[in-house]
Amino acid sequence: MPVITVDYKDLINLLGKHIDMSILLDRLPMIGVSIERVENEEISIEVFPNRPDMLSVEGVARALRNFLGIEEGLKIYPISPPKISLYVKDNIEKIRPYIGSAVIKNVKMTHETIKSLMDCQEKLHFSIGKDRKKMAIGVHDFDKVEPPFYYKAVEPKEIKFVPLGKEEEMNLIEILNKHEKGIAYRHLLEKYTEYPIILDKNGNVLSFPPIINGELTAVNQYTKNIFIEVTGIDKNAVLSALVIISSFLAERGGQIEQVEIIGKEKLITPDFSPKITEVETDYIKKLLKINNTEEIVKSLKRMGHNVELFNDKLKVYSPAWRIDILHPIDIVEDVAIGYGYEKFEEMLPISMTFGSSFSFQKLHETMIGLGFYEVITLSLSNPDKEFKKFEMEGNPVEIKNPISTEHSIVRQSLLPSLLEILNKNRHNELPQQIYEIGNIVYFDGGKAKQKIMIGGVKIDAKTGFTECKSIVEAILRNFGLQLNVKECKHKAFIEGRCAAIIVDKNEIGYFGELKPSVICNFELEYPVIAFEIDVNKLFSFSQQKQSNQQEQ
Amino acid sequence: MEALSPLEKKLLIELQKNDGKIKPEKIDMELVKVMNAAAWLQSKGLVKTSENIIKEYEITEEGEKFLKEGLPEKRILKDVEKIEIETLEKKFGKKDVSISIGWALRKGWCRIEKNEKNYLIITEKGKEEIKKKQPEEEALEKIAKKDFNIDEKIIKVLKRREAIKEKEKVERIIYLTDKGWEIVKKGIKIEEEISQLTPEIIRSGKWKKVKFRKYDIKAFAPSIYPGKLHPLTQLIEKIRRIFSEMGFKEIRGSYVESCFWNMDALFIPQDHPARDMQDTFYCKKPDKIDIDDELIEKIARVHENGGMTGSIGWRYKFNKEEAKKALLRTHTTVNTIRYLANNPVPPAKVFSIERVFRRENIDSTHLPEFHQIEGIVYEKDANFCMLKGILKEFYTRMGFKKIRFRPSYFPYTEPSLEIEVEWQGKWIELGGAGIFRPEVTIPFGIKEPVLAWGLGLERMAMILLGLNDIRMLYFSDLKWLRELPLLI
Repeated sequence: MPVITVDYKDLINLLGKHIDMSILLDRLPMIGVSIERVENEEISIEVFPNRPDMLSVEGVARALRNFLGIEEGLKIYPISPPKISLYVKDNIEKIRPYIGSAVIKNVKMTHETIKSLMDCQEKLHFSIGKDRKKMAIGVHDFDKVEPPFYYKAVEPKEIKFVPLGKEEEMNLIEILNKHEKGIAYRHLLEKYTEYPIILDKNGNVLSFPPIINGELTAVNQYTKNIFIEVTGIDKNAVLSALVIISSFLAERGGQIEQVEIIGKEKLITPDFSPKITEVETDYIKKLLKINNTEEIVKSLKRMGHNVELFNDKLKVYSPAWRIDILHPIDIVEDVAIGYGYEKFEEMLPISMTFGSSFSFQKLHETMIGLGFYEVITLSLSNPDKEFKKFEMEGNPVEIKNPISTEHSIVRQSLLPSLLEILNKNRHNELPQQIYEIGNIVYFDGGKAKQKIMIGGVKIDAKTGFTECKSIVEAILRNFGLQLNVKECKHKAFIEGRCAAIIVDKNEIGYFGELKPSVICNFELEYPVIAFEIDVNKLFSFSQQKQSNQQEQ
Repeated sequence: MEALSPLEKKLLIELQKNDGKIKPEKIDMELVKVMNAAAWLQSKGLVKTSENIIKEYEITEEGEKFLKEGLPEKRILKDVEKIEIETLEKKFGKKDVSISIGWALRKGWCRIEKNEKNYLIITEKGKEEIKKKQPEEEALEKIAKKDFNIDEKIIKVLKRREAIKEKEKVERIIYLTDKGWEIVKKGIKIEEEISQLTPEIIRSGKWKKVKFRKYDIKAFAPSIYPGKLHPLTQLIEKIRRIFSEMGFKEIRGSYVESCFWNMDALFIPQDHPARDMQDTFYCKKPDKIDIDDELIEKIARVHENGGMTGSIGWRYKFNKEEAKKALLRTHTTVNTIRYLANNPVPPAKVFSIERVFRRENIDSTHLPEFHQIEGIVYEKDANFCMLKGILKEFYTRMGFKKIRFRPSYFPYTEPSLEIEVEWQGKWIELGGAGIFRPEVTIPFGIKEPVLAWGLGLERMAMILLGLNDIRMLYFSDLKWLRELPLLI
């Protein structure tokens, strides 16, 4: 999740009121952000992905002013109607069809403003833009170019300009192949033969979206008026990002002037008109147990909304930058946050239900009684451990994007993991007897199926098939079952020393003495016995037996 | 005075007899027992032991031959006046003869005359000496009897002749201390004291007559270790008990799931970062899982425009093929939504404690596989206060005294919250919770609010066990498990 760094003094300055650091650190989490850390005067804040409007110090300050009662209700920025136009050519439609744009006049480009602008641009690129795919933002010095502007697709070699941070002119192909941003983002254009470009009246290049701006319109501390363009393939993302970034600059004292976008349809951007959600008061009251409507209204104002009351409904006017409001339930949450999570009383459910659980307590008791230690191992494994070292074959669930070769499949048996634990405990005293109750996954008719197994191993200077048989017999006896065996051919066991466990003609597991080669593969030096039993079968046969007894 | 064992008493008496100083092997008792008794007496301050390294000798094969056959120079000179050396060599072998002549010459027993051939002539001294027992032979006889009181010169000769080997040995001596003398002077009585109670003593009634030796109850006893549940299981069992006592029913699900149930049904947009190849394990085999087309269609509409849920939806084009992709479940919320889809009639309180998978590199705080404690309350008019209440109840039952809640975000809950507990003066985040969004519940005919949570198990285990490395939980060191107390 994105983390932004906020300078305490800058934040106080934007709040317009002194608030102690300790109070800030206490209140910030209650609006719905996390404090990552605080170093000197720098506060690192983690912003949840639903609130990109807080991805900069300006946005945090705006939310805090409401939350701390410095300002009330919907923030309205003065907006001037469009004086300039941007023309969208049809040929861009199949490449990057959407564009929104704004002019911000009289911005004081302090060090803080520039830093915050660059930072939040990057954060927005990631969060809303999905790394510039859905939308990308360009910020320009408005006074270096002359409107109207043109957004269109061009032949890559048709246009040459000096990209940001460079000194010589490059054509679009050269930028994609040589410029670091070109190399990083060229995959976004690889499907196309023509590329998007934004030009001014005189053919000067402002931007080659979503790759790089021109050096010509680079913003610095002398910039007074800013031109913002946001392009993308998702109209929503484009227009939301434009509103958010424009509002940040307005927080810094800039005056927003809209731009007329002229393409197939006419559009005036940015659109700051509030979003209206109608919510039934009862819906909020029932979910939150707040009975006082006035309290609800106050809470919403503390979250930056304006509210109109009529009959049993609230008409909520939310700021345009609140892109997270999809449903009245999102208004409910803002009531809860505005009210304060800490203030809700705690209640308990009322319904009557019966509890039950899948405890394997009886099986655990049996194993502990036999002196075994329970271990827990990962179910992610690899063919080397499961098949090569264990000398078995298998058909496991395979992971498409494993993070390491060590964890590329899901195990089909617990025994290799247990042998690995023995390997890790070579330095510890013998005998060692360990078990695990866990899931394994296998294929049945092309479908991945899961079952719960108990696996156990024992290593000692003197142990063998007979001891293993005693152990398995003891387990079955505790569950009221009698052990029957059948010869079993399992490649990890010495031939003639492995048996299938049969209960009522059903095979429920196997046990025996491991092959020396398998023992050596796990770098062990003593005899090892092992068993694995299907826990659900063990339990169901045991229950069956008991209920049969009841009937007799 | 602390109790003395019969062996200790016997050793003290022996010491008294020998003026308070004795070599342990001189006592008519098993050496191990003597040394044991000495160690106990030493710990009580009654005796001291000293250790010296002394030299001992062992007769070699060559030495044994000397003992049996006499010195070789004696043998070759026997019944000889003057003899050709060649003749001797034929009889005794060249090597033996040359060594023997060497020694005989040195001792002045013979001389050599060189004409055309070399002759050996025995001297008068030689004639006398070969009849007597030589000092080397005497010394060897003494060594054979473990008597090492022998002239250094002879030892040197024997070593040179490779008849003996030198060995170092630790010689122990046990001394009575002043405190020990005090005790023995008071007189030590050896009564028949019983140490080990035997069936024979019980059956015969002998126990009525004998005295049972008092044991030193502070003495060391060997460690034994019972079999044990893994601490994580102990914790899981405790949580199971708490939830089932509160009326919750446990449910289970599968590791391999579809994107549909794991993500789409929970209103997680298809471009959500958690769905990246970076964060989620997708399966190569099986790569797809069949989902009912009608169901996909219904959920697609919710994502695209909210469907019948009253939401505006995520407003993007839903990819139905994406929904069928197989993955390893990233949360157990998939168990919950599947349960609710099959049981849409309230009330329901269910929970699960199962493994989930995330594409994380292994380090001290991350594993690609860990447990989630999942649960829901689904009932008429369920509300936010109940969510706080039930979570507080759970963590209180787990033993945490201070619990707090703050706003959070999950795509499938609204309002959402994060739970923190205070542990050793710090607030530690243990899980997330919220009320399922209408976009999640309405498509499945779920009509009442669902309070849901997904809590971390390993993190709680780590703080309760005082671990700072999560790997300890999954790479069980048996020594650690043996020593670890049970979770009470």
